[in-house]
Amino acid sequence: MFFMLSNAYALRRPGYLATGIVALAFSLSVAAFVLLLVGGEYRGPLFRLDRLSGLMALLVTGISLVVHAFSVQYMDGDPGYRRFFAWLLAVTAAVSCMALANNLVVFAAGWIGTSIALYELQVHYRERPQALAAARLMRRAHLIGDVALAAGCVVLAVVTGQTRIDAIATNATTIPGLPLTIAVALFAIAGWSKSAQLPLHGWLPETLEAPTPVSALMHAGIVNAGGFLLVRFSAVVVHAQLVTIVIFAVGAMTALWGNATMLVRSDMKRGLAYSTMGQMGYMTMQCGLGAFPAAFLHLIAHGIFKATLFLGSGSVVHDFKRAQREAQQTLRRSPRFRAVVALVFASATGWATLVSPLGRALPPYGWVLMAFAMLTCAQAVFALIRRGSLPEYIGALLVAAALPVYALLILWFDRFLGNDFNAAAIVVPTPVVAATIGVFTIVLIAGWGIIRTPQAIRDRVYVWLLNERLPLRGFLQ
Amino acid sequence: MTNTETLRARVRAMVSVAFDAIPAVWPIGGFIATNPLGGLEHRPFADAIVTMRERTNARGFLDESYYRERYAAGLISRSALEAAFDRAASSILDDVRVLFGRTVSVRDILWLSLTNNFSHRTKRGALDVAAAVRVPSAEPARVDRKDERSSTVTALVNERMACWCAAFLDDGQAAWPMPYRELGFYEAWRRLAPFDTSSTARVIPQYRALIRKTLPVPEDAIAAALAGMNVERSAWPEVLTMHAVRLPGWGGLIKHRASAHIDPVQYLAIRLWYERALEHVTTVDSLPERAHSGSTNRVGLLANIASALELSATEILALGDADIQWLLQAAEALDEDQRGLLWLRAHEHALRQRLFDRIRERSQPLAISTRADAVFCIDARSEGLRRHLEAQGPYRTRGFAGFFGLPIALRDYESGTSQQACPVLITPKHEIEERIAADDRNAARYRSAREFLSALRSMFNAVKGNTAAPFVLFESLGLFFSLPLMLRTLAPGGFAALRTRLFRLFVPKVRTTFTVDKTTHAPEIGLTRTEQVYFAEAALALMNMRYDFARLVLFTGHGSTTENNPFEASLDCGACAGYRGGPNARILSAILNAPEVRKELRTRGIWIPDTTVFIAGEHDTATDRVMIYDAADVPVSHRRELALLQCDLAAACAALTAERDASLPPGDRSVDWAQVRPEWGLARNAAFIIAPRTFTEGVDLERRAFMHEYDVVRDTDGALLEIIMTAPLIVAQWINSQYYFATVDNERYGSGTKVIQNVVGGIGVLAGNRGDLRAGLPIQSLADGRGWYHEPVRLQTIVVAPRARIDAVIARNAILQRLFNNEWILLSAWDPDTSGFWTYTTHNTWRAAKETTREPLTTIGTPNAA
Repeated sequence: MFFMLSNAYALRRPGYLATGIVALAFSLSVAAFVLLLVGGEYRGPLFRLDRLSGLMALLVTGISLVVHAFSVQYMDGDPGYRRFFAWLLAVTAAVSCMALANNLVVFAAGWIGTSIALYELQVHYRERPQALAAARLMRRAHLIGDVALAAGCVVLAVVTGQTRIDAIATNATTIPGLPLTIAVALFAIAGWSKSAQLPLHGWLPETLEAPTPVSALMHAGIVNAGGFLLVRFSAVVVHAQLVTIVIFAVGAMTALWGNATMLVRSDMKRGLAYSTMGQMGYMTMQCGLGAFPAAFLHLIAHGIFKATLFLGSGSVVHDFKRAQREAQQTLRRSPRFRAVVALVFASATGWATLVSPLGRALPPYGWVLMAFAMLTCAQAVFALIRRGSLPEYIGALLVAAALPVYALLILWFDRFLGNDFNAAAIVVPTPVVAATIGVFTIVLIAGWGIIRTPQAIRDRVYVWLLNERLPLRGFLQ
Repeated sequence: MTNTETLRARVRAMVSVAFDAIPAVWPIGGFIATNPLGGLEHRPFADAIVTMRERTNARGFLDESYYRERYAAGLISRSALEAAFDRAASSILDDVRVLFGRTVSVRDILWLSLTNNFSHRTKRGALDVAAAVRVPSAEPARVDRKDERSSTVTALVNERMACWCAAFLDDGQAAWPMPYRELGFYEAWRRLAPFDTSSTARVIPQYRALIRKTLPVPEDAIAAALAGMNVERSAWPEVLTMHAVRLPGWGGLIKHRASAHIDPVQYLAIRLWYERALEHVTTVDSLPERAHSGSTNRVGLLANIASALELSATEILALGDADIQWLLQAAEALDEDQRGLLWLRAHEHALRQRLFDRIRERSQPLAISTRADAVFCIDARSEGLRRHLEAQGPYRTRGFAGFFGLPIALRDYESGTSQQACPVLITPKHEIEERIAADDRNAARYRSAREFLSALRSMFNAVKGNTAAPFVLFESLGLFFSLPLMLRTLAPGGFAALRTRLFRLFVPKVRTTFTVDKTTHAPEIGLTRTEQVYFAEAALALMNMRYDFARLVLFTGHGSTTENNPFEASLDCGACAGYRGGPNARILSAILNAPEVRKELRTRGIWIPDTTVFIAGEHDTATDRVMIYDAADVPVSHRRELALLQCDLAAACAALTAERDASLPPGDRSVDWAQVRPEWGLARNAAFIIAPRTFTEGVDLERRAFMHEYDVVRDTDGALLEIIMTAPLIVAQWINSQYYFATVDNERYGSGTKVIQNVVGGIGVLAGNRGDLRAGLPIQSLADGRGWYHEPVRLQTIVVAPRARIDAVIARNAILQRLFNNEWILLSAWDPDTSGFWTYTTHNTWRAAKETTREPLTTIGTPNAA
């Protein structure tokens, strides 16, 4: 299994070499981004450098650099060391190609190349039948997406007579309705397959047979390709109104399913995988709302966060005792009162932000994002004042103060990315949006343990989640 | 007693016996090394390996090529191989034939098959063809379809069991824990399983009806399942054992945790329910038949024999069928396990010879004044530090179990929770609390900062562990993680320094003390004066310190600082139940510095001069630094000596680092979160030496020997030897076996590669997506890209004492008889009466070790010499 070689450095040479190449790529991305900010966009027949592609290239090469440098030590002694770095480089190149594409062919090539390279990384341990089975599952889901993407590109190219993405975007209004809807629907399917959305989600949690750095790269730079696709083609997507409603619904369901399943996982990496699924659901939901800049911000921030969590997943044993201890900390009585306080606190601050000039400056979807921010805020305040060991309300005030800061963040990012990416209005009917927020609010409060749920329902849901199976017999699995 | 009760008791007894087949597994946070074959120690080592091969198809020896390479490199000497060969071949009838004028014996061919790689197939053209013509074609072996079907059922049952175990045994990783856990495993399962919609549940016909009919008492359920599957009463123990060994990780953890909550009976009750429910499932039966061809290997074998005997192709063709059969049988006279054992013995023999030679040839150190006494853990890693410290000046070092003889639990000042701080063989009867020193000015600031951090962390975790809340959390905080992520990976050393500095700005360092004495307000904590004197006396006797104390006596515990490493506890002190050993050293030195204790000890013949000061330290085995505790408390009169000692320790550590660097990856190993091999731990451990330090002083033991101080002159009744052989030696044997078996079959006894491990429940790791809890050492602890770093050999124990004294100790302890007579530990003695080495064979017989003629290579063995 292990080769006899003389020098430890010599063994790691492929790792150092690949890391050097990615470091160069990252430096180029930084330089390009600076040039972009100073000089302005570049649009060529094949590639395009705008704020969207520049940021995506920064994210992909940056995460890839971390993952490469990490793997130099982490994979040390692995019999497939050289092959590992070869495919890691290949997948980085493919995703970067997709990120910078200004041409349907280049975009599709990068997209499909990503699928191929990712498959090879998934079967790094070919001798493990579990790894092969998991990789096949992934390949099946990705194949659907790849075919859908290629078909969508063909439809767009045929009806517009163009392969340049910027040209297609500029002429989006001239594309006839039916082909446009078909193309966007195909793109949506492609996006769902890469971003592990229902019903093409099953492959993602099974990918833990690959080395940890692969998971880090995948969760930070590859699963969000679906979101990137929709943002890149946002000018086209907004015209397929029916499809955007479906995208919103699929995203909302996946967000709920992914995060709920995460709750019952007792193993670290699978919990992270379901968390990603949920977060990608939220990102997709944002796309459905037309909140493309917010979706893109979410994709970047989540990627960096998740890469950190995956690479550091071994430290959970060390941190565990402290976490356990904090869980056992005596909580103050009357959680119901505190729950009401938390909800009132969060919604009051949230509404105040929305009616302020800052809130009125937000794009049309702003209130939906703020609603979710209020949920997060309510949870944080509830957790804080339940401990009751701090000067609690001062802490709660600080947390609530984060709401306007968050509004500022999305406003800033919206302006930063530019005006190309904004829908004029939300297409999804307001009652549907409101109902969705309502469901999430109920689920949030259900997690606080202050409502008595019937045991039969609770147990049934628990076992569904534990088995990672949707309660639909055989249909969507 | 009613009939049912009798039956239940019998089932319980049978389950308990069945679970003897697997070792208990401790949670990973206090990694305890055990012998994976511990349940079979009442049988000879070789038999146990055969049993495990039959039960789980596990290997017991490394591949022959490993040993053959070492033989070729001279690390296994010819004389060692011959000795092992003679022992193994003595059972074979030696038959001689004359082939083409040459006399050939079975033993000749066997020897050739060992020293040449006969399984390796090289194309030799005519020879191969000739061999192919002459080897009778064997019937292809068919795989039993019933076996294949049952292995599919086993996979389904394993999947269900792993899922329920991971949910139930979770120590708090899941935000939503399994309901009904308070009712026990079996009952919780009975309540939840009806809602199961997994693929396994779906293939079971009438699943819901069946699951609602489960019996409330697990013992009854076991009996019903076995009876339902028509298993004869006499076959029950065997069937139960078969099921106990199927998931040794989860099973072992349940064995360790056994209580009313979860125990092997409940586990097997559920397991057998699935087994029975799937008994008649036919959908899994459609597996393709596979056939294995048995004849091709023998063609190669014959060609290889012919080549080794220098037979030509025409000569093979001329051989009679009987001769060919004879040749093949001769080469296969020993089966795989017998050959493995032969090689292992040769390896051990060679190693032992070199060890003896080194000790024989050592230059006797000069006895001069002592700068300080220093006591270290018996841990093999201490050997390097001791050797280098002695090289700095006249230091007397000693080896002693790293818990410093204190059977205690420690209460942490941060959490208020207690954890064991002595070997798991002992149940701690006393508790000592670590407290922030009352006069520490930073105490208040420390507490409030800690409180604040804890509030922040719990808020963060609460937001992360909810269905609706984490979205905006990730979105708003993610960008802040970018710079730390980069820095941490690209400059781990700098990042760690920066992080520590920032942390210290906010959370100040505090001094701690231990409540060694009993206090009135917490009578359950601390030790009485009598207890202190008692533990101190026992510890000093075992350290062989009675009246010759230096002015400074240093007690050194050890621990290992690593980052992002689920196996960090496996690098800490095994004698402290897998935690750091510094606190124990501090407590013992505090006890011995108390004038009242010294006074009491004088009445018992232990004379500690008033000028002697005890100090405590901790050796960080990842960074090779020794930290001295409470240096400020050392009297002014001893400051100069302390400064000198610290200087010498620093120099010794630097020398040790240089020595270790040769075999470890470069970089800031202990703070790098990408580091899978921060140190080698106890890899390459090979020997346990019970002797005064003068016996080994000046010998480079390459950090491979556990060493316990022992002077037979001061142990007239053998009581001390008995303690050493029945406690530290046993712990060392567990460690040694853990390393041995994880090396020879890492998939079964180890935990595979770290890079796909997935921490589960805060108690262990899974490999990849799901499956059994993986209990043993990861491959990164045993090998690097250049080959096996650990050398799998059984623990070679050397005792400096008369043989009769050792025999007497063995005769008094059944556990030692088991371990020595069944060759789980190899024993030798240096008999002061005869001034020579003796090796223990079995049942109190000894053989004098020969003085070897010089071998060409005299290192104890470097792994990569080839």
